[in-house]
Amino acid sequence: MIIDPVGSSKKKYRKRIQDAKKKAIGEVKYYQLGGLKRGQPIIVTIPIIHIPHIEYGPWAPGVASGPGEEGDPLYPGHGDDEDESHEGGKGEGDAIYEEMAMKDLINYLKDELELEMIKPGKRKKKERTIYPAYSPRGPDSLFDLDETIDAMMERHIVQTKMYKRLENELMKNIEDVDIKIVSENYSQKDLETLKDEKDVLESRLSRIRKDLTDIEFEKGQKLKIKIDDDDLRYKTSKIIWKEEKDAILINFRDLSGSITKEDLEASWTVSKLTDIWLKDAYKDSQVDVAYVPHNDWAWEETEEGYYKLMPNGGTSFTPAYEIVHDMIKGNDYPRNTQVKRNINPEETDIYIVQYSDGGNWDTDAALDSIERLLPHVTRFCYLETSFGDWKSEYYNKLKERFSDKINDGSVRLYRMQKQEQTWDALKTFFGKRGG
Amino acid sequence: MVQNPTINVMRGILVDDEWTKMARDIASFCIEKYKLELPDINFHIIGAEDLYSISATGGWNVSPQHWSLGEQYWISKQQHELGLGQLYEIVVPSEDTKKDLGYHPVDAYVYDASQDYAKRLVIAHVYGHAHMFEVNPIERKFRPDYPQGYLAYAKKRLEELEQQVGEDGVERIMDISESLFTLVDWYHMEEVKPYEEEENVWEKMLETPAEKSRELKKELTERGDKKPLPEKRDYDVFKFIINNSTKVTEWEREIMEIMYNIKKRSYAGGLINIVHEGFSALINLRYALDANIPIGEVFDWLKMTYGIASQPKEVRMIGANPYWLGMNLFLDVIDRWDKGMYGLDWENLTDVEARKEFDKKINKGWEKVIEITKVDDDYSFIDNYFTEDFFKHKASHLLVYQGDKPDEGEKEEDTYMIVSKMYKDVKNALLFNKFNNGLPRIFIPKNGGDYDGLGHLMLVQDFSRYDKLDILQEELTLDLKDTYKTMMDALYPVWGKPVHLITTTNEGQKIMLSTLDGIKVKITPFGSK
Repeated sequence: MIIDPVGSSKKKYRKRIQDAKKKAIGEVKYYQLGGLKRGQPIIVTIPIIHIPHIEYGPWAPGVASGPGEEGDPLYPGHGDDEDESHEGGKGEGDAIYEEMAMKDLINYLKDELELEMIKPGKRKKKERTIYPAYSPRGPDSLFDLDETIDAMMERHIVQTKMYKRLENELMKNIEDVDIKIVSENYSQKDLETLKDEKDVLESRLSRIRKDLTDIEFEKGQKLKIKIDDDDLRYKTSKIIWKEEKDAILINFRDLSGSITKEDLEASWTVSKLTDIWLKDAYKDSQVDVAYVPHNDWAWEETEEGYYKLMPNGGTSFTPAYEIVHDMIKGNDYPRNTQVKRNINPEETDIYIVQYSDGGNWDTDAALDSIERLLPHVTRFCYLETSFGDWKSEYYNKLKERFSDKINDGSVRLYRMQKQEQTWDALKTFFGKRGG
Repeated sequence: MVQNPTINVMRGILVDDEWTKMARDIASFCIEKYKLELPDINFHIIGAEDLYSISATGGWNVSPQHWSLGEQYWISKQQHELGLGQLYEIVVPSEDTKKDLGYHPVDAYVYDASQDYAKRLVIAHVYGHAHMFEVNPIERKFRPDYPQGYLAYAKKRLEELEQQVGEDGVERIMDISESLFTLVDWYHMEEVKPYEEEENVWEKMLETPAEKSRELKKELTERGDKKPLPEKRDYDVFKFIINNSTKVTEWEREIMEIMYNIKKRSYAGGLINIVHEGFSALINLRYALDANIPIGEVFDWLKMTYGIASQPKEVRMIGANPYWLGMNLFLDVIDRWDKGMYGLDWENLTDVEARKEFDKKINKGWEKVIEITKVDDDYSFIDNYFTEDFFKHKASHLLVYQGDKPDEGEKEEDTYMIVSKMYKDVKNALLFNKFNNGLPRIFIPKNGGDYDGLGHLMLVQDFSRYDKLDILQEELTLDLKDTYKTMMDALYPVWGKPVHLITTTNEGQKIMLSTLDGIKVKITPFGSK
């Protein structure tokens, strides 16, 4: 049976690659693997750490096989013609494919796309109560028996030690007095004072011995529990406040007949990437996702159902916006999900991402609805996919109406004309403003 | 050798009865038919994920944790998923609990392939490896007694040290050991030829005034009293540093010792690679043909493993494929010894037609193969059996290449040129890549650990014995960039005093590389050409 012999080395490898520049030895190089994946030629690049060895240089003879005559270069077409060598002269494919882990993706979003770090909104909400310390005073409900017994035992141990020491001292003193009495160097009067002194000492000794029997633990005997008032211990409470808001991402999807498969694919990609980016930003809080498809009317759908819906019908944006109004107000609304959402803008940052091709017949009502919605919403992103020639009016109208909001960054619009522009869309929605 | 080896097939922690029976049947078939000497074997049938892990550690179930394992795991995972290299099995010597009885059990990890016949053939392949582990002298020499126990101890000890001195400190020493492990003595070669002191001290004395000469005499006698360090030339440079460095602390020494033991064992496999893989591939092939496996399945298997055991003619491939080379050399040996194509009769035969039809029908081929597994390592195997006939008929597409110093912005690969397609050159190049594991031979000369009486470390590259392979001194030039880095980043930090290395330029001029401070390397010409 195998019990994961690689274990923490996977983590160590990742960390070593990241910190390679700080290390005293070794450098990062890239190892290329060419192959086929789903019939496509690909090259996978794997970062490796190159540790130097004392090795032979290029002059040492090596063995190879393949075509060619004496005097030919080993890799023909390599280095002679620059254009060719860039296209991978080894006969491998030219596509580049890199395996990305989630952390790499987030780093990519952060470093390469230079997305703005989202700062979650502030709130103050009691999250939970913890009991980090103990105090000798407190209400009965917070009384802690275990700690009390601990305290008692500690006190007993200390006291026993103290009493034993006192006992020893007294016995020594009594011995001294006895010697003095026996030595016969003293007058009768002095002897009497000495005897009185001895009596006092002996009475003190007996008192201490009595106390000791009360508190001393003896091997094999039962524990004597004698709790003093000083031993009582009570929990002290501390309230932990949660300071960050939660977040909700609301996806709108246009279900009208004019939506194509490409539009849907683009919306899926942007939605997933947004979700990942928000989850990274709201590390300590929850990020929820809601899905609202709409044609002539709108309803909340489960994630599974959302992407399976077939486009049909006309388009009206207003019912979709009204659903968000209902969520905030706590009214019921049409839904396919089990639980009614009740969003409190005080505690939750609302992100809306709308995907549409822009075809709409109640533009003015929709714009009014958005205007009422915007005070509650953290960011409103509108992604228009127009892969064909047709350009909608809705995009321009949004731009006109909310120009001030666009300037301060709470409304962001992007018109996507090619499928490769997904990253640009994300950069527009969550990138830095200005510059 | 065990008369009746105990063979079990495990799936998780349970014994798989069906496969155990199957494996035992295959074993008795192989013992009877191929005269294999098998030890006790524990098969473990495992999934792909476990196989990547176990291959990353080189077959060990426990291993000290180092980033290189994570790297290797990632590479084998990617290779497997891209279909670039299918891993089927990995075989390692197991815990030597019955050492006194001469038992050397092995553990074999077998990939849970979808086809049953594939697994059967892999089991036959494993028996090839197990036979090699049992009988080959090189394998026996480097076999540790309690490998798993030692690795478990090493893992625990390094984890403790990580707690005490921090992960970074431990990792640094492990990285340095990773860099220096190539400087070990594979052959326990002692004085081959005494190191010639180029500098003549008596000449110096003649030139100096009388007083100075007396001082020098005194110094020399004093130095003569002191024991030289090392007393004779030492090829085990890494071990020497571990034992004699005054710079390293006790825990650093401990880590380096652990790494030395582990690395030396695992890289000794390079000395026996071709015989090992070739013999196992041969058993595999023979079993596929001899056992009554349906021809379709055999064909499927051969198609699947063709990529592993082939040396393509049309596409460029760097290096000789050990599976292909070993298996074909064995097949050639079988053919020759079956027909009696050896000895004086054969050597003196010059007529081409007669050579072609030569057949004494003595059928000693398989005997010879078993004999080879018992005596040869890669070097002697190629030296004895890579004949001109074999080269002409089977291996004529092998070639020798050499590079040059790349210009700026140029990759080293771009400078590689095909220099020869001749039999002798190919054979010499193959032998060169096997001599000392294909690594430069570096030694510490007598008193090289206290060079100049100041505790400097002197290393010398050994050029002797390469003339037998027709390889000139200038072709043995080191990769300077990596050598500098090794000297500055690995040797200097553990030795703590200046380090010198005598090597050669690619013009054949001997030079001395010295790092006095671990920051830069100085080059000075050394001696005459």
